[in-house]
Amino acid sequence: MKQHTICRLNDIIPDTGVCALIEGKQIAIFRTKKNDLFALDNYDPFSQANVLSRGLIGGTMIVNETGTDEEVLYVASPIYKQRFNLATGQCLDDGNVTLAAYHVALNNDTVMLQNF
Amino acid sequence: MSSTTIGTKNTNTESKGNLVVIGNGMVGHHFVERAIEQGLHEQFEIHVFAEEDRPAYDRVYLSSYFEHKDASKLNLVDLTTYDSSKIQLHLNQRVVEIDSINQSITTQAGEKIEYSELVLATGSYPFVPPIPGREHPHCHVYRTIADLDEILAIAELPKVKKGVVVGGGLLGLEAAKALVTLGLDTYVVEFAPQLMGVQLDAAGGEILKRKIEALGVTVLTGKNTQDIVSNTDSADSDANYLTMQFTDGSSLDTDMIVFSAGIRPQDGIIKNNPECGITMGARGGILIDEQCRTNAEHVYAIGECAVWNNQVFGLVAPGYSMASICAAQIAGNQEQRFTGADMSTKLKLMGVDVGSIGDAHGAADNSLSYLYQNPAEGIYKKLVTTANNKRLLGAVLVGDTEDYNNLLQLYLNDIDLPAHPESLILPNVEKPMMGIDNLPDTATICSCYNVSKGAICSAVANGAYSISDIKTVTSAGTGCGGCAPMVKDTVSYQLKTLGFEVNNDLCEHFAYSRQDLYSLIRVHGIKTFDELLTEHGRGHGCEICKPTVASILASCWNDYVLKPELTPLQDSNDYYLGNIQKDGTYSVVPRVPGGEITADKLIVLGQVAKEFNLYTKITGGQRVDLFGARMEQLPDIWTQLVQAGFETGHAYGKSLRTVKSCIGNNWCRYGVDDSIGLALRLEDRYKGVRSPHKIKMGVSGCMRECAEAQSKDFGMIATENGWNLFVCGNGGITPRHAELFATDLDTETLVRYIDRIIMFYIKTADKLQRTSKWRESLEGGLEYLQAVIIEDSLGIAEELEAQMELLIENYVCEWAETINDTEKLKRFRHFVNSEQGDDNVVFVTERDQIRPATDAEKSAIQVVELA
Ligand code: SRM
Ligand SMILES: Cc1cc2nc3c(=O)[nH]c(=O)nc-3n(C[C@H](O)[C@H](O)[C@H](O)COP(=O)(O)OP(=O)(O)OC[C@H]3O[C@@H](n4cnc5c(N)ncnc54)[C@H](O)[C@@H]3O)c2cc1C
Ligand code: SF4
Ligand code: FES
Repeated sequence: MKQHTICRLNDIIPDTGVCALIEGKQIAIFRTKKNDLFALDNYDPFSQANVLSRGLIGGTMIVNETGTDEEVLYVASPIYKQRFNLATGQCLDDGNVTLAAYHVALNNDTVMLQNF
Repeated sequence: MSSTTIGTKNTNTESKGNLVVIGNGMVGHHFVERAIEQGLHEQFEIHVFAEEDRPAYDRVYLSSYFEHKDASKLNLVDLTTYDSSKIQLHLNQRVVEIDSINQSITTQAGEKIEYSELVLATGSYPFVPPIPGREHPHCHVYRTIADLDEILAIAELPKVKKGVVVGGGLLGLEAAKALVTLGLDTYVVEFAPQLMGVQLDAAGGEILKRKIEALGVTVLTGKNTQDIVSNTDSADSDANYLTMQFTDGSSLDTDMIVFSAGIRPQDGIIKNNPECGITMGARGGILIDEQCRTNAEHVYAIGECAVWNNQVFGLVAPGYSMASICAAQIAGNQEQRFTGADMSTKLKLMGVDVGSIGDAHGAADNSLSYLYQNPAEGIYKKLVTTANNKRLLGAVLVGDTEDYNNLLQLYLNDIDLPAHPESLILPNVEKPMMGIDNLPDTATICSCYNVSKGAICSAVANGAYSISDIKTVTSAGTGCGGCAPMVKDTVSYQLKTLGFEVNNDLCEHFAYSRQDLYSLIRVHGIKTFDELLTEHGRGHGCEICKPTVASILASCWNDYVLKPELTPLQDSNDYYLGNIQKDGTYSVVPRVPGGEITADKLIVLGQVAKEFNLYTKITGGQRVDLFGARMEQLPDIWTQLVQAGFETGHAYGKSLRTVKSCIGNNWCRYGVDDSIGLALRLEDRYKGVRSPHKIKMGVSGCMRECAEAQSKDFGMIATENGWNLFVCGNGGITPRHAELFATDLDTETLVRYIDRIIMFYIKTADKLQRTSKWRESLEGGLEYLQAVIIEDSLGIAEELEAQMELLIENYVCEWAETINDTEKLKRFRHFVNSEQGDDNVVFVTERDQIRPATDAEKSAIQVVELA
């Protein structure tokens, strides 16, 4: 379990992603409009290409366990458009596919990957 | 081969005894599914006996086996369902005897089993005319996967070059196509004077013959084969294996023969055991009544082995109806009846569209025939009507089956024909189409699954609002798929009837159509997505609304697409100003207006490609595509290209692509005007204008049309007096010829019209709607568009022109802008925290150029590196 410094917050345009190389692994880091941060594998299992950091971020309403509406944020792959929940890595278009999701946080102005 | 039994014994039945099914073909299998649905597996122990060594498969798509050679792709049976329903499937076990008195059957292996209910689903077998020599190992039929395996094995023999199909009916032509696929020099030999005599009349058969011959198949009609002589003993080793001798004295050499001369009901078990007492039809087959019952108690027959009302039904849909009715009968529900089936067909034979409805030959007394023939394009259409020309009795369509669904509905539902029935088949006239609202509830929409308009409507009323729900609930559209457009129309129609607004919302974030959003953005001068979302939307936005809004913003204000507030909206291609490829690399497509390029610029393209090791190809749009650029290379590549005077070609944008041009009157001896000059002017004028979908143009220097202008969104053809303008053509998935919009225009008027049309398109089209689909959606058609653009009937012409001027003024080359902006360039790195590239991008060399490595190649390369 290690912490990794990735970049400055300003290196990521709001509502887009970047890709980080951490211990030889490609991790897609996303910054939302509200400056929330998320991290998933960059590898898109559907196209078998390392591209998820370049996907569009979107939101969709779902009814959560408590029965209330909640907006889930996701990234849509730029190749064949499958969508992945930013928080959990769960693919919204294929229940059998889940990407690894990582914990990412802001330390002052620095984006940090935690517990990697 | 030994027999196998799949499935376990059912010990939980209410012990009504055994339900035995003979035959596990398409219909036998369909019966088992319906039986499970009716719960028969809980009352009976179900035994299915199959002569073939595999569970039921899709015979309709049999020919596809030659392409994929994967039998599992044709499989219809989910063995786990059979198993969990305790169905016992006995493969490779032919039933040889039926004892209808003691209610038992005996298999080839001598096993005897009693039945309470017996269903015969033995299908049919191909008829082979009794020609001497037909036992030769190179003579085959075309019915089972095993047959296809044998045909394949022969076709692969080195000496086998030539194949003959005996029989020019539907299946014969399908077999001929298969022989062509196998690379054989293919012949069709038909006894009758024409092809497809059952479905087509003589003239239709003749057109079909010509079209098929144009594909390289030789068709011999009116040929009666007398003898098949084997040449294997011949001293000449180059001789063909077989020689067919015809009654007219001629002969034909070949290496193999496939018989497809019709089918006969598989009634062998009964014919060979007359003591079983089951009645056969006069010409074979097992006689059944409307409840699919034979004359023997508790014995049913369904599918191609059954004869109802003197007819055998050689299609799968009627067999499926019989299967459903039979399962219902056994379950005690006796209401459903089999009352015959419509044998109309529409299909593509060797790439030729063919349709046949009802009385194709005009055999009915006093019937009238209407004909349309276009020998140049190989189109033939015929309508057969009643003497008072009020009702459609039949139709033949060859070369163009667009009218099929419309005609079939008129035929099946006995609907009154319009005043001039011929208008139904004439080209380029407004055709009276059958609206869904005119159809009765009983109208069959999906013939594969026999789903009526009423059934779809009630499914919608019960909550199946989407096409995918309708498919699940009714199965409509899940067979051949031909009914998909009508299913969709029926669902929309019913939703409207139920008072739902057919939802034209862009997505869950905007309860507006693209057109509404365009007006909002224009009227309120909105410049960003967030502004629009806050004022008129909800939630975060998504991959549908973001690029659509980005495109509208660009169409209105033409701001640089990579401004920070616009960047997150762009589709992946606009996002990096290049088309993303399957491996995550990009293509680079510089603009080459009109396809005209200097030697110096060509050299630069070559040098850049060489320096960055890119794959190069001439595109279909008269320019050069450089593939395999890694994201981090794009800025360097474009710096060199921009320096050499290139601009971005917007291959990634929904915007003007290319203006294709012929060489025109500068060089061409026929050219009447400067097509290149006009193409350059137009490409320069409209480059970078973002629109609902891409726009392509073409300019030809004379009516020989070398630039294929009539297949483009805008096509210009030079005349002695100016330019003819064609609009709203399309290639791609649904090709459409552009329509002549105005003639003999001077260049200024031409440009003005194009300005107006493009802006009017941007204003009113739906998202991702090409001009061709847009034009079809315009109520009032071409005349309306001409009125708006030429006569300014809406009084907006000036406004449209001004809006276009603004876009043209604001044009920047996005790449020139990007390479000069260090902030923007930061994004062109694979990693935010490292200078490395993506190690999963691996190329191999093919034909002296790179291409992405396949997975297998990648792992091979990695192994080498490790070792
Ligand atoms: C490169 C090229 C093929 C080639 O090697 O020749 C090509 C390649 C692509 N075409 Fe095309 N099309 C190319 C000419 C055409 C043509 C021929 C023409 O323009 O004369 C057509 C038919 C004409 C037409 O569009 O009406 C054509 C019809 C399509 C379509 C179907 C459009 C339709 O309305 O049905 C698509 C899909 C789409 O746009 O949704 C498409 C989409 C694509 C995309 C963008 C698919 C994608 O998203 O990755 C391809 C990537 C291009 C790249 O990476 O640069 N391409 N494409 C041609 C580029 C021309 C150019 O210089 O810009
Ligand atoms: C190449 C080809 C293309 C076709 N294309 C189309 C099309 O486009 N549209 C369409 O509607 N139809 C098409 N058909 C016809 C369609 O396949 C048949 O209508 C359908 O398969 C009939 O189903 P069935 O179950 O009655 O007969 P089959 O599918 O022939 O099944 C009968 C089964 O019973 C078995 N059997 C026979 N006797 C015994 C016995 N004594 N004991 C045990 N088992 C036995 C047979 O081995 C066979 O497996 C096509 C057929 C072929 C060959
Ligand atoms: S379209 Fe006419 S001018 Fe242009 S190349 Fe062809 S023949 Fe020559
Ligand atoms: S008609 Fe074939 S799927 Fe509906």
